[in-house]
Amino acid sequence: MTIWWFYLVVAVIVVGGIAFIWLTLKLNKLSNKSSQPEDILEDHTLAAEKDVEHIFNDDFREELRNRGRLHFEKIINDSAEFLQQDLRLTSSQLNEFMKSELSAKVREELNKYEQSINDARDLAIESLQRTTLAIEEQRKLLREQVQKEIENDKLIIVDNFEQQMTDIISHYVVDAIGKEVSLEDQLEFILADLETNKKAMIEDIKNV
Amino acid sequence: MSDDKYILPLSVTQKIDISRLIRELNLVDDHLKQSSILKPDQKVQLKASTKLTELINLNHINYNDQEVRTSLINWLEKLKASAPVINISFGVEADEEVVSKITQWFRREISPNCLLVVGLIPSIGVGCVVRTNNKVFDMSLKNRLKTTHNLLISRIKQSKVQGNQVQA
Repeated sequence: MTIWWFYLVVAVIVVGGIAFIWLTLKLNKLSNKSSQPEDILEDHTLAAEKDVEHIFNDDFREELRNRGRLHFEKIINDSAEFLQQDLRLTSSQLNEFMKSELSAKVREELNKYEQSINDARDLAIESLQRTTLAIEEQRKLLREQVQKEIENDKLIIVDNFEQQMTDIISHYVVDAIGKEVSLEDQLEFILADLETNKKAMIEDIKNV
Repeated sequence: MSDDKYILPLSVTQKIDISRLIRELNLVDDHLKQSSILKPDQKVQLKASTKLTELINLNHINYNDQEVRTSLINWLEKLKASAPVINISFGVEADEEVVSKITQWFRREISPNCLLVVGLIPSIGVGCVVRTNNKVFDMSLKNRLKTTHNLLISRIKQSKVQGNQVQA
């Protein structure tokens, strides 16, 4: 056990000696480096680190906050402006799109409407033509019928006139000369007529 | 034939004349009978109507003889019942002379005891219409025009054609 302690003490002493030597060397190296610019920056950094509490005081922080606010406002404004422009652009594009879409839709609907109107017009024209033809045929038939009726009426009137002509002439003769011709003047003709019908009269009287 | 025993005067044309003659003869008969009873041998001068006088004169009848009177009445009765009656109508009123001539013709040509009924139909105009028992003989100008209707129409059409030809 003692030996082991001995060894341990010797080892610690050796390690201690080595660490001392390394540390000495290291410090020497550091002292050599501080005489260079890098050492100055490091000094300044160290000084800044030491003086940071003096730089970032409340005023400076307030100023920074103000600057940050201003910057933030500027960014916000820029963003707003950009957003507004974008919005306007989008709006105008949307308007254009809506216009074009609506125009296309309206045009399409108008085309459909025009097509339907054309179809309806064609149908109406066709119907009118059919009606006109039918009316024309009816007119022809009616004309023929009326013509036939007129011809029939004409024939009937002429026939009636011819049938009644004897009455008319007789009436005219009676009115014209009936009172002028006395029975004595007629007697000769009456006796001649009686003579003509004598046989029939005798037969009729004998048949009673 | 007993119908030909007496002759009817031309003035006696209608049945009503026969009836009047019968009535008058009956009155005369009654009167003469009464007179003969009162004064059997006396001849009575008769005051009769014109028609009865004509009948007596035409037939040379001794009206004082009762048998003759009776025979005449019977004859008239028989005539009234069986004599042929003819209706004849004119366009104007017929005077006695015309009726007499017409009656004369009928009694000469148709029957000696023929009786007439004279009527008036103004529409006849010219001519006459005779109606016997079963027949009507229309001898008016109107009927004559009707019978020649076709001739009239053909003449009118012919004149129309001629008129058209003249116009052409």
